[in-house]
Amino acid sequence: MALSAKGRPPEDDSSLPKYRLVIIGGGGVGKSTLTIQFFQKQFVDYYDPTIEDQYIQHCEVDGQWIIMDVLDTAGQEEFSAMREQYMRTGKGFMLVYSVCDRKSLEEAKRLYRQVLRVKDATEAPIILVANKTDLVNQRVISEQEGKTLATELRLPYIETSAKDPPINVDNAFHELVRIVKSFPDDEADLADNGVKNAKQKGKKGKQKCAVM
Amino acid sequence: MSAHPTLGPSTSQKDQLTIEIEESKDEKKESTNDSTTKAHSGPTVLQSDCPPRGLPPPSPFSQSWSGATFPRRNKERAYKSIMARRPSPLAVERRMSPSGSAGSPIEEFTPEALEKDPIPILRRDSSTCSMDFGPENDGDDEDESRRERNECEDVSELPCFSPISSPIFPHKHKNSAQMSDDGSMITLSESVISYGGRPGELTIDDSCFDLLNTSTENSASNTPIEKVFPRIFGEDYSNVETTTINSEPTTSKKEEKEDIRRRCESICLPRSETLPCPPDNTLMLRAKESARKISVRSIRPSSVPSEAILMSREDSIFPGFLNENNDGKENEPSSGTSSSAISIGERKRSMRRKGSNEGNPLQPKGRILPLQSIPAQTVLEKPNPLTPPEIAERKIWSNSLPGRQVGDLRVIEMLRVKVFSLKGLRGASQKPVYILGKLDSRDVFQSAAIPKSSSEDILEEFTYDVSSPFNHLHLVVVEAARVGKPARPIGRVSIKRKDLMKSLNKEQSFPLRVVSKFSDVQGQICVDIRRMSNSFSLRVVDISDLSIRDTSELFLLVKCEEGAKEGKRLRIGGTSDRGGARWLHMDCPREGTLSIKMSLWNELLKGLNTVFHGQVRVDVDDRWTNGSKWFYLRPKQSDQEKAARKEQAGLGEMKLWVSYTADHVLPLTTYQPLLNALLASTKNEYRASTVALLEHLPQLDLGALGKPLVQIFAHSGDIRTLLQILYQQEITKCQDINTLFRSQSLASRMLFELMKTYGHQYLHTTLKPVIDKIYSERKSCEIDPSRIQNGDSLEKNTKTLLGYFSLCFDRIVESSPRCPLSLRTIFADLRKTVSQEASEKKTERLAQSSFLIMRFFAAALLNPKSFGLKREQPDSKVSRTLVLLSKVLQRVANECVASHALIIKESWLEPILKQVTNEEHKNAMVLFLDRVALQIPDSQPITDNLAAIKEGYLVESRPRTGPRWSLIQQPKKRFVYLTEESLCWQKSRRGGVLDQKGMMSLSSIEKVLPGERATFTVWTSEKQVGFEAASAMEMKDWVTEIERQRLRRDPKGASLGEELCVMGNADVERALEEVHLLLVEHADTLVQWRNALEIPSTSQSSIPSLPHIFDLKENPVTRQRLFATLDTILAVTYAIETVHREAVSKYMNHIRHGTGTRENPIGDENYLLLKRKFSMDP
Repeated sequence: MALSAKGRPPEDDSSLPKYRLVIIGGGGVGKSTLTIQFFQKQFVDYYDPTIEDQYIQHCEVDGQWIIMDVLDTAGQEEFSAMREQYMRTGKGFMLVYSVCDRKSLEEAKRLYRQVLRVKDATEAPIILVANKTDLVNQRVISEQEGKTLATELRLPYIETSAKDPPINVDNAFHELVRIVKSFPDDEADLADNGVKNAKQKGKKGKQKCAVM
Repeated sequence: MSAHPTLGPSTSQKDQLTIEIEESKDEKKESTNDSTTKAHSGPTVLQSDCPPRGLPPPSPFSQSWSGATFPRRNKERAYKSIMARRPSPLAVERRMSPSGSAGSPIEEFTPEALEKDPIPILRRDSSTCSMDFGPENDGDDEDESRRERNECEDVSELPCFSPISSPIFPHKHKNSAQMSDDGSMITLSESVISYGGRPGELTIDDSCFDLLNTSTENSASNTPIEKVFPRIFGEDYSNVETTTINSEPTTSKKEEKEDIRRRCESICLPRSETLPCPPDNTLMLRAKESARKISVRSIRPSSVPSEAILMSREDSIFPGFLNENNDGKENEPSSGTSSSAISIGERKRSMRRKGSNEGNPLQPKGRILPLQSIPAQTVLEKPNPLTPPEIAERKIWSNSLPGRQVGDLRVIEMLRVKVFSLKGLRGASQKPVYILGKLDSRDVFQSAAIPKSSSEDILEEFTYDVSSPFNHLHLVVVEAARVGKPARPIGRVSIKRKDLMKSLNKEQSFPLRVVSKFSDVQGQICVDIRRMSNSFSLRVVDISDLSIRDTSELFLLVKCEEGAKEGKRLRIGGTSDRGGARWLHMDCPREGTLSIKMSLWNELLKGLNTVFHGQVRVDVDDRWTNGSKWFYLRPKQSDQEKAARKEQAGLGEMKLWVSYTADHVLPLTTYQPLLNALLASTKNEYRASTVALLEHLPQLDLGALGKPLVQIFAHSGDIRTLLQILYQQEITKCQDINTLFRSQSLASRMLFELMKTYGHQYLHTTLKPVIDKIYSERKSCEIDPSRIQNGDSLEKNTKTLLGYFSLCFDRIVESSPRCPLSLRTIFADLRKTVSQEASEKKTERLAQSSFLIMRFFAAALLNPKSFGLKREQPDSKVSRTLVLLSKVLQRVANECVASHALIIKESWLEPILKQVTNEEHKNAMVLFLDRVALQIPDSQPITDNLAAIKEGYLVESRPRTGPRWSLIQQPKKRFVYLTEESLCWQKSRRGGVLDQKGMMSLSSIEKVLPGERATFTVWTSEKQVGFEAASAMEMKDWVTEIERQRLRRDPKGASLGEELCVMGNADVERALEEVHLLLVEHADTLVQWRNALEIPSTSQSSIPSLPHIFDLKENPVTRQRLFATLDTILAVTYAIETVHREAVSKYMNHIRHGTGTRENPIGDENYLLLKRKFSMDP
């Protein structure tokens, strides 16, 4: 398993901030491929639909070690009953669509609205990811259109390709962590994440880990 | 009579219609037989006409026929002394005065307040639409209401029609006209007008304008007993004040009887109608008694059999019904308390005619006759309390199409509720709770038990097709019953119906409120109050929608604030006296506002107990107009205060989401062109077809399209053809075989809908036993070392998981013979289509697995609740087990169809994956897929023990055959289970076959009928067995499940379309309406596309708005065809929408002009919005 190249994670991981990230998007847009590319540094191009996979790893983002707890989800509408649950527990969301599939863009909009609804907020830590940019010939959604949507939804936008050589895969994940970090959150969540408030961090962090 | 037409909308009461007719002398001779026959229209209470305004009230005299005796002094005294000592029911706290304290209901009398409460509910798709009409409507409405009022003025001169609606306060009228933004508001404001008072002075309870039908299903047993005091002031006392009827012998008995008969006949019931008899001789008796009266007032008694109502309802919907039957000027509708659908205009005309004909308007002549003219919608859903319940229920049941018929429109209201979380529930007890959804006092939903510990994050969801009007949605949190301890309500969230119609389409938190035992006061009362110089008299004309069935022991306690300290008691109960024959006469000050407090009580156990049923306070001032008015019964102030006080304690909080919408469905003929256009999609080139247009509409929820399309095409029998075309499209579009059928498309959506519809039973039989086992055992299967609980062993958990998995896997791979043929054919089609494109068998299986495994079995395993396999949400442990099982199952299927070996995503799962993805499993899976898709024959028919589809404890009551004395039904608790073959019951769950007490094979069951409350009866040719479930919900589940099993065995189920029909799901009209709505919603886009295509194809610039698939530059023929399709579909949509609007405006007129607002909850302004939205040249 390829960790971030620089250094080793600290021994005591209870003090590390933990980021619960959720990958959402329509079916077959490449959510798992992105995630596996990020965590396992390989490209999977075969049929293996996901039900729900969890990846927990130490990562170094902007020189800080963190624990990434990423939930890769099923994209099919038929699994939507489970969505609300992980949308509630997730802290940051990677909203993926495929540039080859217009329906997946519309699905992304719907999911975006659902996250806001579940979070009962006007904005949430989400990054809009346009995947499969390597498939230039099949592309139906231009960068311009993606960016327009991102502006409309007030989301950061990034184009990725999980195919080797991966483009922007790490960036997408790191950017999401930055977004979550900078996202104004209520006190409890901050303590929970251990981003600030070092005093509470240890205790709360342990509790959280036990729960996880 | 005090009635006035304009009272109609607000006070309309289905129970009666009074008709003013001229006295006719030429019908004297008529046989008594005839009269008795006609008595079936209901016992007729005869009584005097009301005195003209300003004249003294009818002089009291007691009527011996009513069974009343003169009171004895000592009783009265005893009563008084008791009342003085006890907290008496006379102590009516709530003052429903506008000048009262903050929160007084009168504030709703203001136009602003009225404006705040629009009655109409949104049509389904239109939560975002604003709620205003186009300006052109305002004018119309205003004119209309003005016209109406003018007519009222004319009429008001007639003494028999109370002038209550004469425009005493023009400013009020103006207000009302201004706010007439829609029909319902007009209705409301008219009601205000009809009271003839300024808001400032009109001090009746506002809620009488909000007369919504409430359920009467609850029995007296649900009503809390408040006070116990001895019966001293019984019936006898009540008649001190109860005097009856000013009578003036002008007509002979015979004439009277004949007249009644004739009216009955001409108005409501054809002679030939056979009906169960009302209480014997009712009419005869009454007619006799009323011989000396000059007017007849009849009220539909509660005992009118529902057939009669049903029979007449068809006709009663629209104006003209009465008129048609109206011979000359004799039968004239006049009652303001009537709910007949006679349009105001019609009434006005006939009244004027009457006015001109009658020499002396002060001389009341004529009769008021019974009419079972009841708005359709109230009839079916709300059987009259005394109606034999099974009759009404059967009607409901046999009415396979949901919704209420309103003229051409079928209105289907849907209530969707999601409960997200319960927070801060009070009480240390860790007992599980459940959520009870109620519409007024009717249970509509009961969640499974939720452990309190996990109630912080629950998700309960239910959808309910609202079949009858309601006032409140209650969501009650109930602490579940344990042995020896009854269920205890913790608190509830109550939302008014009109609030539901507002923008509740988002998550909101509501504090739980105390479940007061008194707050369920429901019902309306119609009281006729007449004020004279220094006294007043009143009588109860009618009562409706009470929560009790038996109204025979009701009495009204009346107290006048300014007058005597003691209240007086008016007995109203008993069928003999409904219709308000008894008058209560009380003294009051000569001047000033008179505050009358009335409270309704019911006596239980011969007066031993007295139960409060609501109260009304009326302020009668100089602007008061005599006449009967409907009042909404209110709970006691003290109870509300108590409740308010308790609320501060904080019972908890419920976060929920509600949506309340209505579909307006037209008859199939209206949709026929749309249906044709849709069905043509399979015949011509797909790219130019209607379905293709629909599929590619931007921002379309495919689920909203897929479901109706499945119904429509399944019904027509073209679904296989359409699906094959869609598969074809999907495959062509798909560039990478690995993502085939993974994204959402119309094909995947429709196939999923099909699986859910046809495969539900199959899924149930296959997975339910495993899931039940997992739920009940609650064994830990955690195999992730980082998540494993202390004390759990990884090996043990792995073993458990593998055990569950093999159970589940075996059931699935052996299930192919159970899979309905319809589904198997669909899968065979899918594979055939795929095989034309891909050579590899694997790809075929991949496509099939995408549906059958991923979207069906794996999804259902993951969330049994949403697939209807379980009612309870799994707890965290069970949930985790299900996730793991689902993952492993999916993995096995993936391994079978993937082109490469799969990588391990989660390392801790590796050992178990290695075990399960062995060749044996893979082969079994492949065989299963092939078998289901009819590629290879089934191995062997399943002979293993049949899983119970539904099981649980019911109470059996079987009428014994044998000697007469043994006919008594003996209730026995039985463990009942339903399998694919039979319905069996035995003494207990553990009992084996020896213990079996009864069995019915499904093939022998002829019918299953729901009965009263939670009972149902199963009929075979030889016997019938009654069962009673714990709740009505549970009963419905049983009946549905047995019916489903029975129909599944029905040979008719072979054809796909028929099967769907048999399932009772094929409401093609509704499906077409849904498609139509989508088209209307996207009309702009369609117009754009059409215009884009109109440009000659030689133009080289591509059309940006047009989806890629329709870019047919190279194919002018298809392009032309697409253009034609667009043209057709736009024309069709426009035409249907026009019919829609007409139907709705007719309907809205209908609301405005007389039938109750209670029953007509829709006044859909979205139709008017569509005018703007949907503008194009026809």
